[in-house]
Amino acid sequence: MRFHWTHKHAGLLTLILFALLLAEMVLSLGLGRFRLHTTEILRVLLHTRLWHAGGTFYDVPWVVVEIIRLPRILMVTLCGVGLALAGATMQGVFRNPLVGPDVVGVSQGASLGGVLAILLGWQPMGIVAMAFGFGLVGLLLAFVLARLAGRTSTLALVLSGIIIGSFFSSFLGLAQYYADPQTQLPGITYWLLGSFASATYQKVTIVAAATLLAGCGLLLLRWRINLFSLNETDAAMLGTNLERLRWIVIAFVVLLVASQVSVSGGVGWVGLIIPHLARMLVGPEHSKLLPASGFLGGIYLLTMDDLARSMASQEIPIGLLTGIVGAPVFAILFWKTQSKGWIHD
Amino acid sequence: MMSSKPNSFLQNTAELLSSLLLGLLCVAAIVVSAAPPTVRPPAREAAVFPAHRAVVLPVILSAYTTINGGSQNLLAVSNVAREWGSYGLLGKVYPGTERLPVVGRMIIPEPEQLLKVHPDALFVHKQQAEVLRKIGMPGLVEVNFMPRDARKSRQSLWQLVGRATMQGPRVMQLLNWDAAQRRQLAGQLGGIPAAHRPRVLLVHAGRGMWSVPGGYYAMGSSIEEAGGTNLAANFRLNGQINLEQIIALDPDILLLDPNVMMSPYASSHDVSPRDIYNMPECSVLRAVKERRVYELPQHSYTNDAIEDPLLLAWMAEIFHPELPRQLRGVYRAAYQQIYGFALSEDDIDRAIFFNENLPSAGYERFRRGAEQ
Amino acid sequence: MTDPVIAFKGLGHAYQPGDWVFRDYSAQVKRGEVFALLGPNGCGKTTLLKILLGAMKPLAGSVHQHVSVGFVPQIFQVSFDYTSLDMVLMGRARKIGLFSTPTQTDRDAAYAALERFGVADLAQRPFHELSGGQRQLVIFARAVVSEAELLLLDEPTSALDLRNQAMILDWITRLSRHDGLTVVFTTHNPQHALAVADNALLMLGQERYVCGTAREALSEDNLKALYCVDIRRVSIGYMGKQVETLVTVFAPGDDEITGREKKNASE
Repeated sequence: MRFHWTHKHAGLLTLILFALLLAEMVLSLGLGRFRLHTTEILRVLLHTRLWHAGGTFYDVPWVVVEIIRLPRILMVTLCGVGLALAGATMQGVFRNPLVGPDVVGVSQGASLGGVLAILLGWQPMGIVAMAFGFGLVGLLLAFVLARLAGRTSTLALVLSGIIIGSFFSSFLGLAQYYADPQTQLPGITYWLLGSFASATYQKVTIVAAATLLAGCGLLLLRWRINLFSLNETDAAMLGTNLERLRWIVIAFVVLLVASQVSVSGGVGWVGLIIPHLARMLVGPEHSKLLPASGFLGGIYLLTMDDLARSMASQEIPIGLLTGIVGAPVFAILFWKTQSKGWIHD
Repeated sequence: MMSSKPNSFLQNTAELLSSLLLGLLCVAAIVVSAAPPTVRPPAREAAVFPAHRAVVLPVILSAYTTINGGSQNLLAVSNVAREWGSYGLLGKVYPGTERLPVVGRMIIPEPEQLLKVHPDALFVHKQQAEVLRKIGMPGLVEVNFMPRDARKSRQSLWQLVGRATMQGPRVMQLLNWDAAQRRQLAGQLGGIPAAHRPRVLLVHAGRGMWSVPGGYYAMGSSIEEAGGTNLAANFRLNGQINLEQIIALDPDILLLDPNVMMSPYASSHDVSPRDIYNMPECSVLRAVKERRVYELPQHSYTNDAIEDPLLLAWMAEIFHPELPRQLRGVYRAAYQQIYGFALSEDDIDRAIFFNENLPSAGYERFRRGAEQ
Repeated sequence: MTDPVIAFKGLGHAYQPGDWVFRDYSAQVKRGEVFALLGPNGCGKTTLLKILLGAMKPLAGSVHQHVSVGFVPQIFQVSFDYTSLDMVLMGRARKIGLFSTPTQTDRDAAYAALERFGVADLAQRPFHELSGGQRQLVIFARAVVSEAELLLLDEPTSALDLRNQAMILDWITRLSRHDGLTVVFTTHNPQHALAVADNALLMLGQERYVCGTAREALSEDNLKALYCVDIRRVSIGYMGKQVETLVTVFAPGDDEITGREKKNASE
């Protein structure tokens, strides 16, 4: 094993990753098209946080740090953590290292819900509610379809997820077709490509609440998730109530993915490649994998968003960046891991 | 042999700690956002008119320059606004428009960039303004399009721009001119019975693809106003149509819209009436047999300046050849009256695609010197 | 011999309605005994085992089984590179709280179990890199560490060489005698059943089965009915004792074998 040393020191590594994530969050406050001096950033932060001072629009550093960057950085970090946790959990539960959160129809459902809300002209909370609702509907439909096929195996679920996902994607296309190209289409397209540009504290609250419940829930269940990766009969013998636990775990995953999609649109690849990287670092055992994966996801998405908002003079949709970086990385991982002989049931 | 047992204490602590840390991070985020910093209203009045440092994001630059009398007082515009604002004759009238700095991709506002530019009036789509309202951006001028009623939409846009630039009289002049043009046209077309209205289909033609602008597109009602019947009046969708469907609709007149940039289904303006006549598969169309395929004169996407009455005049003469030949005069007078700009004969030829349309029936009437 | 660990009555199952895999089976497995399940391919051994595990619901009949079960599946595949130690620790699932991870006690127990099966040096090796025999031992360790009272083994010797087969049989006997575990296993080798099982169930057909002590059930006639092959029971001297074993008579080219099948079919 090439990464054996890191496997053995997984705990230390996880803490280092968290420290890196915190450091990157602080650094990101200073990044952006509008140049700000470190002292200015500190002044703004201390001023606002310690004395609860409001600001006016004419205090430009204040607006940039407190209103534009801080909520965005918080949101990106939490979304990255959530997506990577969701991905690592799904790969465990579906016993397939090549799946991501979009295999069970959640992402597509959530996207469709969000786009419908935009078409109906609803406000941000409406978009969040619709995305979450449709994400759940997507998952439930996939489950019902898998049951109708008379199979409860995870393969059947993944296949139904693909069917439901494609179905929803078609409606997504139709929704774009109906959209007013003057006012709605640019917004929809931009949202579908993923963007954290519209971060607000309200959205941060939504994502943070979801992550607190589902993310920490998954981290607490970290060791149990190992059992799902065993043969179904085998796993059933080892622990009690695995079936009920499976539902809870999947509900957590939906909550994480839907909350992310509803605030920032489609951001692909994070849930797929980050668990792989984390597995190379700390090994496949989920009580080590989940925390490392989550923090690594935060680091990755924050890096991508920093690039998205400061690389060019115009915002680059982050979904494009994660795809451009993610697909080749995944191709390499796929090629490397295939030679290691993962066994699929 | 690997029989040494790794110490699990650090591992277990780290694992427990990590869920705790993530929990803390979430709680911190919730605490931070539970009491979001409030933006105090700025000391000065939010919007200061007339705007001296304006930024225009929506595709309404023609209206702005027309009312403002040029591109002065503009700091920056979005790329699409500039593209349409400098298109066609208006680009000649206000050559400065083409050199305006660009801020923002499409019409989506980007707060940090806008803060850097710091406009005193920021024209933005109502649907896109949320992010700016949130940061307390002063001087927001929110543009609201009512796609179902293009004319009313245009009038309220002019009034909005007029307030921001404090050019009320100019707006009145435009409104009166617009109304006068329409009145005159209505008088000319008054006696035409419904049976004599040609059945018209407006299409975007791209490389091997046809698309029909649906109900959202303002041009549909213009066809009716110019004495035609819009075959796409009941089309809800903005989208592709195939030749067989066009044959089934059997239009008397096929209008090609040069503005295909906004249509996702056709890529560029590279199909002229001549090309249509040369397509063997199109020869079955009645409009082709009767040579009644025309390319619309240059116009901007929303016809936010004076294009609409000019297009109406053009359409009326195309639909009803019995009307007097006056289009070139209408163009010259409009630009003289509104912009104080003397159009050359070449300008008009280019604007009405004279050469491109020449193979089509009756286009000779628009030849320079052929006016009545 | 005390109360039964497993008792089933009138047990039957069918995947297609009316097409019974087996039907009306009744038997008991007593505490501490080794119980062998024998039958030709496709007779429903694994189905029966799954029903006994509680992983499947039978179509007819009832099963009483109220002890903690350890299961050793026939083919063991994992999707991830878990180490052997990770695999064994998963056996402690019932002892580890919903939100916690293995404690030092769990780890000590896992190491002890690995050591007992002589594979402690494989603890940090990825499970899927092990040989078939090593994997089987790790899974035995996992079953032991779960402190199950009943072990169900699905063809534990099928993919192993003779040395490993002997080792597994040895462990089955030891787990039953020393640890007091009840062991139920399926096998294709009646010789193994005779060597280690106290009782055996022979699945002869849909509604035909033989259940009894291994010595009685594994008679030459029953085995002939089961496999359509001549199997002789012989007694040989081994280490100063008389040991009974089975010898299968493979007679290639003898029309009797195929002929017998025809006779069976016409019955």
